[in-house]
Amino acid sequence: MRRAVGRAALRLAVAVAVGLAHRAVGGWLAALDPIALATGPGVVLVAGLALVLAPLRVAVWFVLPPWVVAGAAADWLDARDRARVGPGARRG
Amino acid sequence: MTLSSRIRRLALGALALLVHCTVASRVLADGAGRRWFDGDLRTQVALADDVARRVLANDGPVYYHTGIERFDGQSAVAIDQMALLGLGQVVTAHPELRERYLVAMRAAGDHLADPHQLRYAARRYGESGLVRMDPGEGHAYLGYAALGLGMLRRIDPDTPHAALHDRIVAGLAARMLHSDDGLLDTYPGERWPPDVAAVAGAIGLHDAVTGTDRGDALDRWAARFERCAVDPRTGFLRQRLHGCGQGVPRGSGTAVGAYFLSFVRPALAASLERSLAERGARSFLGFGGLREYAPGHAGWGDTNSGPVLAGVSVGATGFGLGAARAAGDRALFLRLHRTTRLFGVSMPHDGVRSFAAGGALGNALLLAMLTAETP
Repeated sequence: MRRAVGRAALRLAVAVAVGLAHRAVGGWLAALDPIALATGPGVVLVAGLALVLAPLRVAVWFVLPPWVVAGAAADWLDARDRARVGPGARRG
Repeated sequence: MTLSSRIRRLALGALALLVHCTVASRVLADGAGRRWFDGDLRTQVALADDVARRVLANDGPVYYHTGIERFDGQSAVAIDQMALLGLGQVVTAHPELRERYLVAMRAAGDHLADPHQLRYAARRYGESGLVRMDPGEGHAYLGYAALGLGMLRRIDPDTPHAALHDRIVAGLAARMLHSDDGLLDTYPGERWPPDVAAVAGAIGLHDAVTGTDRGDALDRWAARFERCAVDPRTGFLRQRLHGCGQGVPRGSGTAVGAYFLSFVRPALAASLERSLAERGARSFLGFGGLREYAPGHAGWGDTNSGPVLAGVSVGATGFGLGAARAAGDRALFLRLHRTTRLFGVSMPHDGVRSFAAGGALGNALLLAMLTAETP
């Protein structure tokens, strides 16, 4: 069970880190004007930021929450199974 | 890890992903969507501060310098007009914010009154309508500036641009209210009903702030405009008119037209919004969008619509927020807001919150749409 809790904490830490990166890149882009940059020499910067931001946004909105929840649930079920099998195996 | 454990892990992941995707749009966006719809002060101020800051930071009346004169000029007019409308709507709802935004509103008004912003129009007519409007010339592009100046005048009745505002609106009203089909040229040989909707909105707002009464003439105009510019089959507004009743009905023009008309004929605006909600709305996993082309029509995106994906356009969806709020359509507003929040990338920064994908233009447009007034 301790292992399941550790893995859940790790997943949560990864999610928070990705969330903070998403916020930092998004905040940086929001302070700029992508239209002004995209119509000048800043087009490479805007394209780069968009390429970084797009997967981060998909992760934050759609992937990370189910990954954290489903992963924690699966780890907890695995730990419960191991706890059930363990005493039985010792008795055998 | 056993095989059954792996299968269970995959099944749990798939189930969580499925459940999350069906509720994510609501969980992550509807709190802010409800605050926008209900006119929450802090939500409005967070974006309004960003818009005001961008207007004040701009040196001169033009924001973008692409070298394409029409884009640079039209985008500048749109930024200043929408900034004025958005900030004015915020101040109207929360009068205590007047001093906070007055300087930015005056700056946007100065930009709109500067003939340098309308160089592209001057090339078409010899002079921009700010300088001169000769008989037979339409100058409907001035509806945008006139609507913005009308909002400035509502908040700042002593604006030095009052005389210019009176002159522009008088010139536009003389043309529009006496036109057989309710329309006037934007540029020579170009008739765009959404631009005429801006002209009508400007006349309505001018009437409201000055006490002028053109109500009967506007009623007669609305009937002529509806007959020629609204597609009777879909209820969408035609984007560009090639003769009375001839032109492709499109979502972006219908949505922005509904927003502009809410200043002058709310019933006509509500009728356009209902057509969009009934025949133009699409939804996927709770994320809503508005189709660019009315049912039975198809085409590509352009500078008016922005990109078109799966038939849904950025322009129709963004302007649809204003049409929906003006019509009091909370359900459509929330669905469109979810999409706007996801793809516009609403982000906090430097003590404000704005849309990362928007820049000066997108954020000014969205402030005006998200704070559109319910008549």
